[in-house]
Amino acid sequence: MNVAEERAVVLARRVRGWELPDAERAAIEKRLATRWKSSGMLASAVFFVLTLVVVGAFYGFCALIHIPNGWVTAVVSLSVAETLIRRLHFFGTGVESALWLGGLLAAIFGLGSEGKPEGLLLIAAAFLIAGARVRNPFIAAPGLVFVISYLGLKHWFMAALVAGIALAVIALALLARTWQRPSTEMMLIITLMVAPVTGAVWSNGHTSVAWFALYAALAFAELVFGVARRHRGALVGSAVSLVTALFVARATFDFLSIEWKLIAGGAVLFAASLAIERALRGRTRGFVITPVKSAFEEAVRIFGSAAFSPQTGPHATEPPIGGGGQFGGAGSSGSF
Amino acid sequence: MLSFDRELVQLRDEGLLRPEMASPLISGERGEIVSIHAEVRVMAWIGVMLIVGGAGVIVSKNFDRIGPLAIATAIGVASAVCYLWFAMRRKSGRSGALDVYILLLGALLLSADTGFIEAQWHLLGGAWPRHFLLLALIHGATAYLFRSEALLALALAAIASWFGIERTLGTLFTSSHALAMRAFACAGSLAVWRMANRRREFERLFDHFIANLVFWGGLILTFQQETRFAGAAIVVIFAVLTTWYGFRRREELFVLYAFVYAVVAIDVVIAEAIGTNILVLLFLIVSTIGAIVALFWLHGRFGKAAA
Repeated sequence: MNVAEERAVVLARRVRGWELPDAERAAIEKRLATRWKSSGMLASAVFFVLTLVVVGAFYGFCALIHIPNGWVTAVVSLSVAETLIRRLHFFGTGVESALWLGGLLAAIFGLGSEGKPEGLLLIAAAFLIAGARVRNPFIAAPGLVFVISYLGLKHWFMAALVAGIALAVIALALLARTWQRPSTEMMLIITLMVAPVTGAVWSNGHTSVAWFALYAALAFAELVFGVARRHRGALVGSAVSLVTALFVARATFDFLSIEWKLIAGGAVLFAASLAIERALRGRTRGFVITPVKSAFEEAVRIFGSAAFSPQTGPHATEPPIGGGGQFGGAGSSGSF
Repeated sequence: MLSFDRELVQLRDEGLLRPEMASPLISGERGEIVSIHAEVRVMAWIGVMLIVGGAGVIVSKNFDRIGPLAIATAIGVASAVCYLWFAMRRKSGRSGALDVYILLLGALLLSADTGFIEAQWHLLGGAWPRHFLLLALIHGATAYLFRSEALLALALAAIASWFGIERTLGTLFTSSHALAMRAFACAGSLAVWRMANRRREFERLFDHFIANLVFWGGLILTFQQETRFAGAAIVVIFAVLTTWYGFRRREELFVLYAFVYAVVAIDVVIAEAIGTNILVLLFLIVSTIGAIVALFWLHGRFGKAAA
């Protein structure tokens, strides 16, 4: 798939979210049509899972009939994936991604496990190769997570931290240039968010105030970049780095218990969002607060809130006994 | 930085995109106008969830020290302040984009407080699940009063809890058909409410809750030995209806999960009938490939219907 085709496919997906008359939308989609078959985020996730089920079942079937399940599954999966890509022009459907990833993982699992951390590097390679081939950053990004996790598993905690921050800095620097392929840009944005978090998680308990300062500096750099270039990804990355910095510094700020940290963090976030909303109200250029339809925000607000609401326990029909009982809700559960 | 500026200008120049539509889009791609509305709202939502989570931990950790009455009063007052703030802002006509999250915070604190009071003092005795009904009524009423989908979601979730429906995957394997019946009864109650509902913006939320409750109930029956066929039949028939509805409403999400639920139900029935591991895996391979092909066809048809 060439650059123009990838851009047309991604733009066609965006067009579906625009509020356009049906005829206008159809005309634009026709103009942007390529030979590539693609599907939206949700549909491709469903296809991805269903295809992984097929690959997994085939792997198990080969084992039961006593043939080398790893290699056979890999050869069959990759052959089918390449046929779908080259002959039927599948791109971003979820099927070809699952076949590539499932095939490579089957080959690795077929080798058997010796329980060595180096196995993680093989898995990382599988994700990175599959992600690069199908140009799917959501498949490639876990590869970086596995590489940093390998350093953590080897107890090279500082190396894990440095790798996480270094990858984020490189990604930020690369985001400064104009990328033609949407998948490249997305890969850099995901790296910006995922790499520092993974490093911080693996070096949990082995950090100091200096590392907090480094993460805070990264957050600041991302914020400056995001504001200067009006780059949403960098702004979200800045928020993620700031939270990571606070996570790294939690031992330093030990004078607050977890519940007060949660409340203070929540209050700061809410106050910051209120301040931003007020500062941008009425603006018509630059950063604005104009309402835009966001399915993600809507899903988070409605279904996320419902998930946090009180729910019944495993013995709902039984009344609470004696002086005890359980309540759960608002993200908390307590026993008394 | 990625930009579709060039393509949008081309679409405008070719007359495919009206200039008044193209102008803000092109400005957005050039970074001249960047709306961070969704990001700011998600940030506010996370803030609310952290506050509510922290309050929950305070309740459970400091119960002995602070005392139940003080805790219940403090949460109740905090909740009331949130409701009052929202109502006053609305009345004064100065409500902002984030006020809805203050309302949500108040509602979640109210839920936590009600649960805590009931767990502590057993005001409803053996009928303790009725506190969920009380919450459903309050959240439902405030949802209509303030036109809030998030509060309606809380009300519907509270009703599901009142019916004793657990929201965990393990339910599928461990539940009895009494739970399935409760799921159907809950879906039926919500369907009646949906028919009485006069707010169009709430319809989708009702539909998603009802569909998932029926599918969940059907799957629970499918996983039980004695009701396997009846459960699968319910899931498949309802999947057909949901798919039709999804096409009619142009909502692909309904089509997708109807299909997935139906595939799971059919696979469970046939895999159980086959019994042998090799044949089960072979069936799983063939049936899932068939499902992928069928879903591709449906997905394509949906795209054409939407166009």
